[in-house]
Amino acid sequence: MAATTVARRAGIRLPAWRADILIVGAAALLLGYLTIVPLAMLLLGSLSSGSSALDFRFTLQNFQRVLTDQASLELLANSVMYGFGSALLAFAIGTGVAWAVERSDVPGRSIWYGLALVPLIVPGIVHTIAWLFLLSPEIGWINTPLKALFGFSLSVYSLPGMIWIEGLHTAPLAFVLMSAAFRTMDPSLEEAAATSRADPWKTFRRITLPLLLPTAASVLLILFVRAIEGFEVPAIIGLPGRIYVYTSRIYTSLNQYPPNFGLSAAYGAILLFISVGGLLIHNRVTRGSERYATVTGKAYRPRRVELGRLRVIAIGALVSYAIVAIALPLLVLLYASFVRIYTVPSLETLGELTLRNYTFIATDELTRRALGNSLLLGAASATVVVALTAVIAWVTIRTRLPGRGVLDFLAFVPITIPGIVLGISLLWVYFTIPIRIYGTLWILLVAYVTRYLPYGIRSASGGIVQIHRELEEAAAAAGARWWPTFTQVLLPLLRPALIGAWVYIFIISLRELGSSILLYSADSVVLAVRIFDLRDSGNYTTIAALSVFLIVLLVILVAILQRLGGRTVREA
Amino acid sequence: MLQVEGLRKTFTTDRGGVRAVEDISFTVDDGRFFTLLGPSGCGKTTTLRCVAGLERPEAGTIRLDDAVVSGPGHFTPTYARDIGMVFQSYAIWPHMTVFENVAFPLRVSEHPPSKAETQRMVEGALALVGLEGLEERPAPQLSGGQQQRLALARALVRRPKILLLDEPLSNLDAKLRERMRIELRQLQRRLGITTIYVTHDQGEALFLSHRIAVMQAGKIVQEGAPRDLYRAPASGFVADFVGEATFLPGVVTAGGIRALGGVVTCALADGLASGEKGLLVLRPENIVVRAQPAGVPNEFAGTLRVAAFLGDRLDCVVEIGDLLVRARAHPTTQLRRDQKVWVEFPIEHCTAIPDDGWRPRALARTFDDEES
Amino acid sequence: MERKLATTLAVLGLLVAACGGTTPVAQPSPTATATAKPTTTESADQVMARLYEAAKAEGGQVAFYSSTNTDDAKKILPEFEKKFPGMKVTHTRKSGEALVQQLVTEKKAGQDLYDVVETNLFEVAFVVEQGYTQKYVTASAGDFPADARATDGSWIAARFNNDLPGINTTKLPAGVTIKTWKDLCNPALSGKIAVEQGDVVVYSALRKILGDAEAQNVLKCIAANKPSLRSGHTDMANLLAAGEFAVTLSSNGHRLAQLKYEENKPIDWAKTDPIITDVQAMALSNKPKNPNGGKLLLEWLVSPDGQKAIASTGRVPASGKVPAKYPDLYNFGKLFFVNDALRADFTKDADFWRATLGIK
Repeated sequence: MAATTVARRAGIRLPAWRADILIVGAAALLLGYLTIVPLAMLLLGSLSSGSSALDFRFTLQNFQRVLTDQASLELLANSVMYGFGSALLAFAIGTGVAWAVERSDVPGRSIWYGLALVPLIVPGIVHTIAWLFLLSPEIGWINTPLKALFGFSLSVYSLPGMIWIEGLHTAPLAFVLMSAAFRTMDPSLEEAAATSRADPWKTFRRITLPLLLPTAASVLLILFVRAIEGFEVPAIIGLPGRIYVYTSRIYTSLNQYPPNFGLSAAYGAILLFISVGGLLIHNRVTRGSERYATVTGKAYRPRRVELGRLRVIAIGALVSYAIVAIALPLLVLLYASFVRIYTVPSLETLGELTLRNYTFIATDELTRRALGNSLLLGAASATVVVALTAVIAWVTIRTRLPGRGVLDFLAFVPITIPGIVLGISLLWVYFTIPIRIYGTLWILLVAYVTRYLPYGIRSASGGIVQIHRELEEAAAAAGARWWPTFTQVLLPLLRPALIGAWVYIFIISLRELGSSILLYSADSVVLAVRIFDLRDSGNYTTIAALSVFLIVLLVILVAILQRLGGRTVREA
Repeated sequence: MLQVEGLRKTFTTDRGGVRAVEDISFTVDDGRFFTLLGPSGCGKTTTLRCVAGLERPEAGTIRLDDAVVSGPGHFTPTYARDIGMVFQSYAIWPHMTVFENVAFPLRVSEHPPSKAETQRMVEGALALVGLEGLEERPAPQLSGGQQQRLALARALVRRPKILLLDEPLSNLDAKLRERMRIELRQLQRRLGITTIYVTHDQGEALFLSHRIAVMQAGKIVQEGAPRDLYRAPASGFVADFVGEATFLPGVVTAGGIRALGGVVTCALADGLASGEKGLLVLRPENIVVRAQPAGVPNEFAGTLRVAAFLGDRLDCVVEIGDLLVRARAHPTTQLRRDQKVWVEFPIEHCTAIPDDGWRPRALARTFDDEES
Repeated sequence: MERKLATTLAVLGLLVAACGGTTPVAQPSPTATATAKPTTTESADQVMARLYEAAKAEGGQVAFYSSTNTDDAKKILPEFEKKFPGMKVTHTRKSGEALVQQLVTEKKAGQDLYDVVETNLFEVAFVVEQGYTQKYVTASAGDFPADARATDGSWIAARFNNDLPGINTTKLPAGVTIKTWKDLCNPALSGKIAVEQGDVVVYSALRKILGDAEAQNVLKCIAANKPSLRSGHTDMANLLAAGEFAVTLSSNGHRLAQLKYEENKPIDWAKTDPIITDVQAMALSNKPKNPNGGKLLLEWLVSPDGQKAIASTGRVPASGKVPAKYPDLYNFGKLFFVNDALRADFTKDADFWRATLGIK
């Protein structure tokens, strides 16, 4: 450094500043700001009767109301039942399909595998709207024939209805987790049972099932936490049906007037507490299950159960699942997108198909803005997350800085924060801190970056761990300081992991609703919010068109970006 | 010239063990090949990494050409030290070509040379190690041996003051290792570059080095030229580590040590007094095995357990009491298993040294050097 | 060396830009200054011409927060933009409570994002009370009946909403007629009723119309029929037309008329007497982003031009000068205007409303 050389010659001692200290320091500060400040504000807000932390007036009234109110017990019961119900349903479906695909000899396995993952692309709000069309009490596709034939209808506006929709939507997640578990089970344990003359059913009951129990418990817990954090189903189905859970309660206590921010924060704090508790228990359970570890990491070809005559039933079940989970919702959305006003399909409605809805969304200012905003936010948040977590992961894994464990922990904290709780926390932050970003895209960027930090850190950590430390040491021995080492040696090798994370975050950000719903304004509307808003105006057919568009967009994006990401991986 | 004084470094591992390098001092003169030799976990790699600046010692001073690079209150980071280093895993950057790997040290230096100059220096370095013509090849496509040379070329391209090598041959197969050994020695002697080498292989150490420092449990137990270490090991450990030996423990008495039911005549090392525990260390090539007694001093009767024909010699194991003696005999000697034989320990090769308790093949479990 | 410096500056620059500049929050002043000019000296067109020039210089934008649904807004706002080329209205559309929540949240977060707000009188009055508006008397204010504006210029009505029980004639059970609210208590209608969950104003009005005891009874027995609770009148009306229910407690009259006359749906409405008439009021922001644009929009919406555009959607214009499109929405009874005084008991009414209907 020319400056420091001059200074040194002149006898002045300058503090040695290095690029690495500066960047690491900035990253750590940013991380702390993103994770600690909102949670602190949430807590402050829940204990205050003012509506800004600067205007703090201590009160326990909010918590009192939340915990002792007669309605609150019902709220807790609803939330727990909803959570467990959906988790069980998702688990049952997901495990069933996973078992069929991974452990049985049902034909066409790769097709079923792909099909089981398709619903993951569909955003929660779109899925919920589709089922609204299907199960609307009077005019739903499923209910109309049911009424005609059997005289009753299944109302979607009920707790079972909510459980059905959420369970169905989360089933692919259960599928992914359980099929991984099935795939890595050591078949020799079952083969040992077979050689001890146990028939397939007995083997399943006495060997397979107990071995899977820890995994099953942990998967159920994840599904439970997912369900109680969800906003789409409680808002779109629960509110009209008067079934309240914590997430919808947070939303409504803001939307009554005068808006009660403190109460919202208190509900948010409770929900956060449940969520954190659930995940802590999950960690405890999975840690203990190492005793049962059957995951050896070696590539076993798992033994497949021969179904014989049951094969027909299995195929039938899989086909039914595909129809119910994929075909029906897509079809109803397609249909609804081509009619003027949503009614039950009949010959005359089929004759009156129109492109009106699509022209609307193509020309509607707000929708176009929503699309632009969503794409921009997706790219921006993915970039920020990837850059930030690359540095944090490097600090955690490669340095011996004190407190690096804290950094790692902070980067994972947001996974416990439900979207809507983050929304209300950020409201409190920006009521207090005079940074005027509420209602702009910036606050959404803050929310998205915070939410997706854990995904980034997971990818970056996984990537760095696989890169031998000596590669960086060799660069130092070759005379390179931190910055050239980081950018010319580490980053190129980390690129596949970073690109993977970028793509993933970009795609899932397009579906975000929970935080966006509380933080947006006309200028910063995003796609999922636009769909939600359109529902408010009763424009169901337009919603259907927008939903179809969103699905198509996501499918295309996934295909393109996977192709790109794959090629880059091969290059590296 | 490299001077290391009083180096001390401690680690705490996850398993709670404490790895240490304790009071290490040595000097390497310009142009000399200096080897740190010892078993896994003795601290040799840690010492090398301290010289490189990859570890920060708690105490001690390291001086490179009289300039302190590591000492109380002063620590020059790795990138600022004029060194070249070859790692055990080679650490070749897989996303770069051969050329880019070697050019990297030039490009990141404070005053990078021009493109033409860089080209020249890289080609020169590649020629040194025999990799010319492979500039454009992606590094991962090289064979193991080629990667090792590449690592060497990269380390040398800047013509550093000192070359550091961390067990660079241990990942090669036996034949390649032998060849590389020869090339490495020739290269170092030709360039005259001051070199520090770390290995656990005594054959490498003896072959390559001007001086060897034998390390055990974080300390240097003996330092000297290969010949001196072999002929006059200061302790049982050194004797076992450098070359093969038969250990004969006994109590020191006048003129020798009491062992094998009698007295074995031998010289006594300095500082050994009567009544102390002494150790006779015998090299196999110095022990004579005969089918008949020859009536010479230090002759003992025993039973031949193993007589293996190795082409240039007969490798014998003779059982004398509860001692197993490794010996060599001329390949034409007619010996049969379980035959009674007579073993001579020629007096001129016998010197008793203090017994440090070390016995061959009784290694305690030690931690890996590389763990941090 | 230079690279390190540049890097550091870039990082710092990013951080600063990300903060968007930190300016301290200014306290909203509850007593915002009045800026209106008396209408006696200028005609409405003159005022609007003057404001138009100023608004163009400002950038030609107006941020309009309103509960008018998008379809109807599409018939109104483009007329404004056509009349004043270069002006652009950004319409933030939310139902009454949500709109208020948005507005309040923005103000609390130190953001001044809206220029004109238009929603139910109750909600607008609340916003006025919070100090987020300013007084402004429009040039055309004289055209408006006393119930349709605040004399001091705090708010003025855009339109009236006849809140009538909506009926789907095909879904109504045989033998059931709906003439008044009490008719919704008919047990034959169990499970076939919808209520907009924010419609506390209907109950407040009923208390004045029927008296406290009777109003409470009516609400209780309607609740006994397990109504479906919806959010958004348009949504509810559309579902009514689709056959999802048979009756609604209260729907926007003009939407019912649109469904009946323009879309030929089997819709009718109860001819209650009196007719609860909600006032959709408008107010100007205390710190509008586009002051002249906001005033221009306000002036235009209450001018005969604007009122005609509003009338074309089927809504009932508030101006005495412009006729409504569907007079059969109100020509059968007296009009009971919702007014500010009804708000006095709002909290009590809201609690009772929520408790009775089970809204938590």
